[in-house]
Amino acid sequence: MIPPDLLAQFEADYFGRLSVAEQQSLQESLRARPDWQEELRQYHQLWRGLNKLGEDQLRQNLANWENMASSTDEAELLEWYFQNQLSAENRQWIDEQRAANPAFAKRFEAYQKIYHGLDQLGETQFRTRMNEWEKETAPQASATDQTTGRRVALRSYRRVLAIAASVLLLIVAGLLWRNQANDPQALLDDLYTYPVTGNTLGNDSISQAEYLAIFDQAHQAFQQKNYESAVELFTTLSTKVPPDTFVADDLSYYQDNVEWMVVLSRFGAGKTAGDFSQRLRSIADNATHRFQEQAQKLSDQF
Amino acid sequence: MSKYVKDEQLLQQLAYGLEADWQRFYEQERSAFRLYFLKHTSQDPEAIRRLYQDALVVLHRKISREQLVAPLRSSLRTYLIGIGKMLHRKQWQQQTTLWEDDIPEIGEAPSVEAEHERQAAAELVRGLLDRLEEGCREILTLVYLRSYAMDAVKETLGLPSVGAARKRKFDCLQRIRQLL
Repeated sequence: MIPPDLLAQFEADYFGRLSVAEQQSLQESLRARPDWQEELRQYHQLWRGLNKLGEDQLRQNLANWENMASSTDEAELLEWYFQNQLSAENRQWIDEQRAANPAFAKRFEAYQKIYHGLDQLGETQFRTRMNEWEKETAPQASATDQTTGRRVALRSYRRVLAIAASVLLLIVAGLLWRNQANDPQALLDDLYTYPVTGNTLGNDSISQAEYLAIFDQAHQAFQQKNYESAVELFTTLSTKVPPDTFVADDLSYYQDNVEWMVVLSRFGAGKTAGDFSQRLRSIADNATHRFQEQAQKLSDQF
Repeated sequence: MSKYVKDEQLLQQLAYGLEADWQRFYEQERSAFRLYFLKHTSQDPEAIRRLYQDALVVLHRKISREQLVAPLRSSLRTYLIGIGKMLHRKQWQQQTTLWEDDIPEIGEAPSVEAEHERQAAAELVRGLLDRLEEGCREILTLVYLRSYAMDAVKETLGLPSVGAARKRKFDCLQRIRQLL
């Protein structure tokens, strides 16, 4: 049998991670052991299959993300059209769509009116603002010293009030934060919501039933403050291939929930070392994540 | 000091393998990629949508196999568009497209494995994975199907070290091979 250290090198070679010199050295090891040829061939077959499965899974994810992201594509495309940013061929493609598709032609006209109107409105408002700036600077140029002095004093007074209000706000916010930070359980209760289930479409299958059972069990553990168990169960779910009966909405819903609950459970169990911060940040920075707001709140406290 | 510090931080995040980070990257880069190819090519939006996904697959492969590492010589966006240009050339055989910028072409070694061979291997391995015990299936799924870095595998499975994660991975690889 090929020893693990060498197997790691054969794998690195298969996936293109070795230098030329390392590849040559490895080939020499292989020439010295013809009895490894068949075993290596089998590993190549496994890596080929695993690689393809991984790519299939990635493409499935890309398709799901595409569905979520493409709802504003038409508006964006037409905006580029009106801004004259498209190639001649793509402008022509849009013109052909207008000619062939009356519904699209109507939407095109509607967007055209909107963008043109927004353009005009923007220009009008900008002119209005310029006029206001003009008025603000003109009187100042002709003010007497006394008047100027009073204006300066008033501005300073307002400024002092504004600063005082900000400081007061910070003090109050700090007190509130300290209260919550001193009580992690209150924070956990605030950030946790029981999920809405039962809206999954498609036929019940054993794998779907199993997935949902573990999901429910994990949430029960969390509600009973058995955070260690909740961590284990949610982490298990995060490593499972989701049921293939889930449609894109379900997939997104459960994935977001599980991702967030892994983080929240770990916080409850005090397991905040390792990649905890990274996981929390990746949710807090993700505008499309269902639990972005909660993650940001936890991130601020943490 | 690298010129692309933020991009290198993002690269490190993506290399870790978490899906949420890849999804965010996908959404973040989508518009810029689309506009670039809508502006500079004759391909329609649907073709460019497919090109974007193909480019992401290539980028994902390069990052998960540590073929793209710091220090970067361009931003990740530039690199991704470069991959798109390379794929565009291969797919549409257009040697004469004049790119009006200096985003470099990215060379990519041609694949020598036919698609049907890869598909057959995938089906075989899918069956083998189903026959494996849960622990081994978990770790092989994380490493090969979800391209988690070893650090991420160690954290997800609660293993004591990266070395332990690597050892378990190869133990499980040997077990699945024995099922062949």
